Amino acid sequence: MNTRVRPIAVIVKAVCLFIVINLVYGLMEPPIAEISAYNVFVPGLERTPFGNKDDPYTVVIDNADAMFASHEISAEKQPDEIRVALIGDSSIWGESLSLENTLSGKWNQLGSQCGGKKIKVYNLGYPHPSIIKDLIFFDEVKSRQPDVIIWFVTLNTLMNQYRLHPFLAGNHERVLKIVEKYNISFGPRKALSEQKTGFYEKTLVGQRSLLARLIKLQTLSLIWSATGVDIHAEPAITKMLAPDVDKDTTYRAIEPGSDLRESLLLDAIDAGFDIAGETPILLVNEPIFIANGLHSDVRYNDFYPRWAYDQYRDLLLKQTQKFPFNYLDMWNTIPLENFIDTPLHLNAEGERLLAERINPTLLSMVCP
Amino acid sequence: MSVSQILILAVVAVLVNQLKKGRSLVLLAVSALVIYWIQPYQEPVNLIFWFPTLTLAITVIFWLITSSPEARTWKQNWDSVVILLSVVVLVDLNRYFQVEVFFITDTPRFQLVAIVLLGVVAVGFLLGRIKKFHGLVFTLAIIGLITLLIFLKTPLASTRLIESISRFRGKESGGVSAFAWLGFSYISFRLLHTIIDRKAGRLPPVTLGEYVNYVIFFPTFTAGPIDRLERFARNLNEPVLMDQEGWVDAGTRLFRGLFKKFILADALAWIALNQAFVPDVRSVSWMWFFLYAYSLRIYFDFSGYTDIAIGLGKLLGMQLPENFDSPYLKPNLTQFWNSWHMTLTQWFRSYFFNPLTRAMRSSKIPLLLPVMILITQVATMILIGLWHGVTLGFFLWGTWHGVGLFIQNRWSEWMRTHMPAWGMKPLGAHVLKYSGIFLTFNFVTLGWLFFFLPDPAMAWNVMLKLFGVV
Repeated sequence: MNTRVRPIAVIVKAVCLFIVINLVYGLMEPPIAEISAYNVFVPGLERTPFGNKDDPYTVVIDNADAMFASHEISAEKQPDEIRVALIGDSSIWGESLSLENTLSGKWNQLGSQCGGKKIKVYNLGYPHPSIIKDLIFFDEVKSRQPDVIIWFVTLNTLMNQYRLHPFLAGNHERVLKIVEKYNISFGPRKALSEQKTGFYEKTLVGQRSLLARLIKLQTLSLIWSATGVDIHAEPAITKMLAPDVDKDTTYRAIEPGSDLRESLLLDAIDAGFDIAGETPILLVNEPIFIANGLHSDVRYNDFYPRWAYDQYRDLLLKQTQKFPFNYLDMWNTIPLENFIDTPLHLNAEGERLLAERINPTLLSMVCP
Repeated sequence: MSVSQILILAVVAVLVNQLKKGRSLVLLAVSALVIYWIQPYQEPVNLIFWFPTLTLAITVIFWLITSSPEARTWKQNWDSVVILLSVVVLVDLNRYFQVEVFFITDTPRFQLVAIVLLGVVAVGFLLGRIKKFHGLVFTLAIIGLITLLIFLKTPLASTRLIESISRFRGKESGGVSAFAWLGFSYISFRLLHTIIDRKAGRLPPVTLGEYVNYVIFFPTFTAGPIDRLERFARNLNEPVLMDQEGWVDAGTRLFRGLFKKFILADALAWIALNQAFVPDVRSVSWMWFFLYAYSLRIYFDFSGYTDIAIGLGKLLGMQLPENFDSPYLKPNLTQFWNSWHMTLTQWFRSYFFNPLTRAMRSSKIPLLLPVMILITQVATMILIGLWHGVTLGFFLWGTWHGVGLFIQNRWSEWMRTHMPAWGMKPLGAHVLKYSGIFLTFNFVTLGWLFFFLPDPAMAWNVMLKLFGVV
């Protein structure tokens, strides 16, 4: 038998096989992002994967399917469970906080029950303030049988954007679908349309970055299972925010007195209620840091000048008139000392206070 | 090196191998360019240029010291001199070419580089006129090289120097922790080998091209194996003739290395125990699991690089020495060290362990054999540890292995004298073999704690945790 190997033949066969596998993969479009070791072999993550590339616990992944497949909300709903999903930005996700100190962590520590059922609160925050991102989360969460969705927004969430955030770029087809369906005047709509997925992007080569991240995410499930830690803990921030603020009165280059209506994606709130369907929603205006030092007469904090934030609250209230029982304005409910690195981020005690203050409304919704 | 760099170099290697004439000169130019190309980014940014340049300068000076007068003639070496000077000038001119994919664009000013090159040429000219060097020159060269190596391997020393340079230039140090003189650990051992052999009169005469090619040969530049000059020069002048099987063999080796390094090792790196998550691991079994992952990761990483180097070497017609031989499947620590980073242990055996043993045997104060074994093995392993870095962790890692080798040596001796028949019976041989593999692997794996955890106290704590003590 001739056992000599011909290098050219090996190369030709390898190239052919490589092309065929890529073609088949591209044609089949397997829902690879929905396959997860989490909730099957190890418990699901308690918040969406997020972190910097050097973090030993997590991987940067922008695919919503993969994020949700790894999240504990994708586990089977228990018969004695009332499932509450918290959707919001970094303050809900719990930046700079360990899991037990996030809003959902503190809320679950309250141990609320209703009719013998345990209220289990799920952290579906993500460190990017964007109402369009929230709509993608609504789309994902609706199939996970939530009993209530608590939706945290702030002025930054509702502001239209002009650059496409990596998360939105990573889910551009879904974003575009939602934006078109609800006719939302989303700033980077053109950029979204230009992100079209061609056949190359569907092949193994085209998806190599996503696939690598997916494999890493699944591999990191071992570390999650062994440590119960989902992100490298930053040293706890104990310093209070400074009471003094800048005297600048513009908000994102918008001059005082301007009408913010044009800049806010208020229609997207209606879209959220529509996507949620029958699931009750509690819309919450997030607490903010209200400075009391120098220039606090013109600004509430480093994020918001007073004129802009006041106008936003008025507009939000009007928008939510249709749902009067489902709106809570918590903007000034948390004491100053409970804010940490930004005017929206709370410390553990702040999260506990917030959970306690919203809990009665939640109970009134689930235990009428 | 990244995958794309390796694949580009593989193509270059194939092309170089096709050359009928001037192959070793082209290889010299390629290797010299590659050491600039793969030098990692660091602050101050000029070091990215100066480190490879210094590598070339030191190598040339060492050649002048170690080569015999008959190999030093201008006629034999002018082409290599021209190539090396051209490469340095070409790289420096990148400030005008602006080819960012190849190299930094803010290289030093040409006038400065020209002055340095003239200085090196002048030193070279003067050294070239000396017919025979005094033994003291060799000793001083050895001491100088070892001092430089110790300096570079001492994080605190190099950090302080970077800070001083930055202060002198009126800039922040940029948070760089130590010098990243790529490949210097290996370069220094190749240079030491040549100068020790020259001192002993064992070094064959080689041309500048052969010598520099040996020291900076691009496949082995960053991670070995550490070849011997006489073997390398012979192979360089008589490359392996490649037939179809040779190409397949080279390609297979290269891709096996890529698979080991970039698939297995890099994936294992995600779950390999590291200082960041050590404190959070909640159970002993997980701790063992992640430690095993580290153990496998370091093997696949290093042996993968070796496979890549050997594969690239084969594509160039060079048969490099093996560096790994299934080390984790060896039944005792001596065999492990005969199959892990083999060329490094051979180097230490030749230039430290054997001379030390000889010196102790011929010492006027007689030492008991076990004491002699303990001293030579522990000292050798501590030096191997410190070669990785002058830190307490590497010192302890070396000591761990030195003591382990001594215990294993005494155990083997005891078994041989007290239970000679045990290993002869099939069952006994099997039990010895597999329990030996198990013990050796776990001993080596535990030793890695001192290797990769920067704080020896943390390493000790983890070790206690692994045995449920804390």
